[in-house]
Amino acid sequence: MISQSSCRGAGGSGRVMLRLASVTKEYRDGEVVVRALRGVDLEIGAGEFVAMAGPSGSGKSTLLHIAGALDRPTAGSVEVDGHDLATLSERELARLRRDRIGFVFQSYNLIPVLTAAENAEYILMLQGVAAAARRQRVRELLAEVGLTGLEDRYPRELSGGQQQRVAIARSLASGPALVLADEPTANVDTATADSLLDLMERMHHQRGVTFLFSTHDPRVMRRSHRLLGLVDGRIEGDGAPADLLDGRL
Amino acid sequence: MIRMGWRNLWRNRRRTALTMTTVGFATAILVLTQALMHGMVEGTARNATDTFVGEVQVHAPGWVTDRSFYNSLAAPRPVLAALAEAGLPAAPRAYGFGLTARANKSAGAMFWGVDPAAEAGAFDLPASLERGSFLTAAASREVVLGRKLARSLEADVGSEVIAVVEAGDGSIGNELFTVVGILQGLGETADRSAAILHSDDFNALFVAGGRIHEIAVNTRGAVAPDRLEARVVALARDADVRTWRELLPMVSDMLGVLDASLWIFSSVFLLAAGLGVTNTMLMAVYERTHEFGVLKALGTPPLRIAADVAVEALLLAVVATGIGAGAGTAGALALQRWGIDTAAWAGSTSLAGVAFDPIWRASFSLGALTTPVLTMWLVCVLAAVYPAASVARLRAVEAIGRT
Amino acid sequence: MIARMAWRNLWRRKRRTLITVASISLGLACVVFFLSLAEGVYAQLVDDAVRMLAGHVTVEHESYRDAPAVDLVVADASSLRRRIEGVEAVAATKLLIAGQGIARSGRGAVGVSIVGVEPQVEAKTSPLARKMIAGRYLESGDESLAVIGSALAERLGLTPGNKLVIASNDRDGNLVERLFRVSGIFKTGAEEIDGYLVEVRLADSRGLFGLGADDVTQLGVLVRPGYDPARLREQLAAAIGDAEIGRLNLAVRPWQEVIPELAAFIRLDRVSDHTFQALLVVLVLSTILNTLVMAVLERERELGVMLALGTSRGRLATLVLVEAAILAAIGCTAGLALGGAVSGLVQVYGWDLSSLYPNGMTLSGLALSTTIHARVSAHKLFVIGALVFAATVILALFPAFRAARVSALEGAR
Repeated sequence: MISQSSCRGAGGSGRVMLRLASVTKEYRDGEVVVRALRGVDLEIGAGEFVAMAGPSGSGKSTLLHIAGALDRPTAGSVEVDGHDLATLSERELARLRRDRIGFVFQSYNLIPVLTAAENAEYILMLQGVAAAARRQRVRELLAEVGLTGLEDRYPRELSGGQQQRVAIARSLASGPALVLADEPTANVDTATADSLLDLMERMHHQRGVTFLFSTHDPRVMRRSHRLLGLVDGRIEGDGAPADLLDGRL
Repeated sequence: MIRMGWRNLWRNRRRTALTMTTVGFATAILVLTQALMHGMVEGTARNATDTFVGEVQVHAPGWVTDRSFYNSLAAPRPVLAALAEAGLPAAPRAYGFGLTARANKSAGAMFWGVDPAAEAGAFDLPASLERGSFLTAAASREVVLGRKLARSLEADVGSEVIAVVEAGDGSIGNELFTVVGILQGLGETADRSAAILHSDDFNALFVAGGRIHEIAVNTRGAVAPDRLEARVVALARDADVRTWRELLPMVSDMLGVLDASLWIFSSVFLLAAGLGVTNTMLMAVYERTHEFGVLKALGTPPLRIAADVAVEALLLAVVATGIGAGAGTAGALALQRWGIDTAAWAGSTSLAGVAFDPIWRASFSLGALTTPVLTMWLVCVLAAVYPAASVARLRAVEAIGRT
Repeated sequence: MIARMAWRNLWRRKRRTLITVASISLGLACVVFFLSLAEGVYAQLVDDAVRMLAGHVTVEHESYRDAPAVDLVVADASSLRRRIEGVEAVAATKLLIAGQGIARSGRGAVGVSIVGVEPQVEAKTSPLARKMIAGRYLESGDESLAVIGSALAERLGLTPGNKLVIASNDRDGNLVERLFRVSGIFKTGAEEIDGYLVEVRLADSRGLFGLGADDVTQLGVLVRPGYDPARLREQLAAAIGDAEIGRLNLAVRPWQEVIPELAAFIRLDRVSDHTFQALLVVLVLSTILNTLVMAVLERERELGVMLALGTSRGRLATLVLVEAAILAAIGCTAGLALGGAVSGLVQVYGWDLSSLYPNGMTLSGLALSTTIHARVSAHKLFVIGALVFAATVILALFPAFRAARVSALEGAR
């Protein structure tokens, strides 16, 4: 088991949650070699609420995949919650993802054969939490994300916003230290996007979870506490959202 | 349109390969089972005829019901000569009843007078021995006994047996013969009564003067049964010509039973293969619902979509059945060449007068490909067009929405 | 939760799952049905044969099989019979004297088997007594009467009431002749029986062959229904006792040794049946494999999500295996139930094939009833079901490995 963070509460605590050093990533797309990341250096402290912006193809998704231990970099090192990913085996990486990292995807990616409650429970089941305990936790969590009464619905019976709430509940159910979200609001209308952001922010405050999410939406960027600007696989901007967006940097 | 279908197939290689594998495999299994079934029926018929019965027999009229020694063929020599000229292998035989005795055992026997060279040329009889060897080319007072007859006489290879018969001239024929061979199980009649002599010894014993009761013709399947019968009838005008099916009605019936049960078997196989392929094609086509929606949105008429899918399915079926039929043919030819040796499980078997070859061989003919291949084509096209047509009738947005 | 997910996954594609289940169960049902039908035919063949001939187990002189001669007798037949009838599994015993000879009439002569029987026993046990086409079967008081087969009667030009002479060697090798009168003519449809069998009373055959009053060549034993004929041999050997077996030079033989042709035919027929059945199962399995592979390929993304969430690869493989196992379990259960039920019906009510075979059926020289009764064996059903189930799960290893190799990135899109 990966050590549980004792860190609680909002804001940075000084401890580093995610560190990328000179990370590059190349992959082949047919004949062409695509350089998705070209030397990224990044440090995110525990308890930060960070947004990442950039045009399509700038490397946002690749960065999230590498940060989430779904993919390995071509060069450079990645450290999550104090673990150097290069030293971990496939099995240890799966365990790290399960216990310390939560994922929220653009198209929700709920497991279609599981109900809302079962989807949220899924990771707890993988962790071996007893059925009664995990049901209790998930009921509370679904109430927190505003899905009381919809626990037994299948994903196809829920709206996009509701599905993304289930996905957020799922990402938080196991008590992760870091939640990575790839354009979580891209498929929903602005009102829903606002309420999803409210939810994420509340979870961040209440649980002290570190959030890193990518987005295209300037309104969403403004609600972050720190904004990264990615262009052509490099971090071109890093600072307060207002500063970056209003061109003060 | 064919080229488009072909490219479509290769767009999703994995799906196409999987579908083709299923169709091809089903075709191969169907071809193989057909060949094995045909082989079984043909093998049984072969076993029934090749040992000594032959495909067609020629007798004097009335001989089949009344096997009197005096009722022999009127003019056997011209018939034999004509058969030889026509290239139809045949063996002349004479029959006479008598007693065999050895020490204090005696038993009734049917003596056969045969021409060892002719038997070897047309039949497996000289090789169908449990022990010992067959008669030598020149007459030397040798006898080959049926299995049960030998047991009744407690005779073995090397034993001497006495033959006592009523000869053609009314005298009592009496002679000592040496047992050189004992037949393997060839059916009850032969097992129980056959005492096979060289025709010269037979003529001497029975004072038969070269009588011939039976000419058995056997081409080993080289000439089709109907044609063979017609040709022999034309050659032997005044004689009674019978096919083996008339001579061995029980074996013929048994083949009928076998044929019917194999027919049921092959229907089951076609059904199983059809279900599997239907499933595969349905899956492959339903997976493309979205794509059909896009085509529909572009204004393609539903009929056109269905036709495109039909062409694709047919292309796939043609290629896959081609490969499958090739593999099945190779397997069938291998089983035809080497066969399945059932001796390990069953030993040698004889039933209803037929000694079974323990090697079960397949029998392959190009005609055997028709049913499996055509069935597969039909199933593929139907199983593809039905879902494509039902999807094509959907409104474009619905189809695009479904994933 | 894995089982629940697997179950729900199967029903996402109802049509596909149902077709797959249908093909497994139909295939299996056919295998079960054909197997039961064949076993039923074999059982009937064996039953007819042992009843007509020398029983499920035959007690005879140890040398008789190699050289059947009437001097190789079982002496003290009645005391042996008493011992044997004390065995619980024994339904009936029959005494036989089987010898060879020549049957002669005015029309000609034919080598025949002469079998001396106890008419009252045969009338109850042997199918022959029910297959008379002219005259009647033997009765206990019928001195010098014989029943003969239809083909023999035709060849010798005999009808009931006619005389026939039977010539043979007695136990000392002397040529003997005796006059019999035809009491009845039977027709079984089997050449070996109709053309070559003459049955007379036991006492007449003793007279013909010069045997003692308590001598027989065979003591046939029929097993009671529900008891295992395979175990009867040992039980009989035990009941007779080694001392007695040694003193009388006895051999206690199962029917497979007495009628080896029939046993060999059944084995040969089983080989070909099993070959076709195996090919059918292979065909069905190939379509199952296809379904499973498709089911994995179309879900790669979903499996990727599960992997991204921290599911181990082993668990992904297990999920696919459980799906295959459920599919196979449903298919096998349905197939066995269907095949078993249909076979059961045919076992109870029989399947009348007389319209297919107006001339009757014969196999291995034994006439078959044209009404076939299947024979369902729970043991065989279980073995077949287990084999198909196991084969399916083993085949599912391939798509399971495929599922375990998905990329987590696949799920992150």
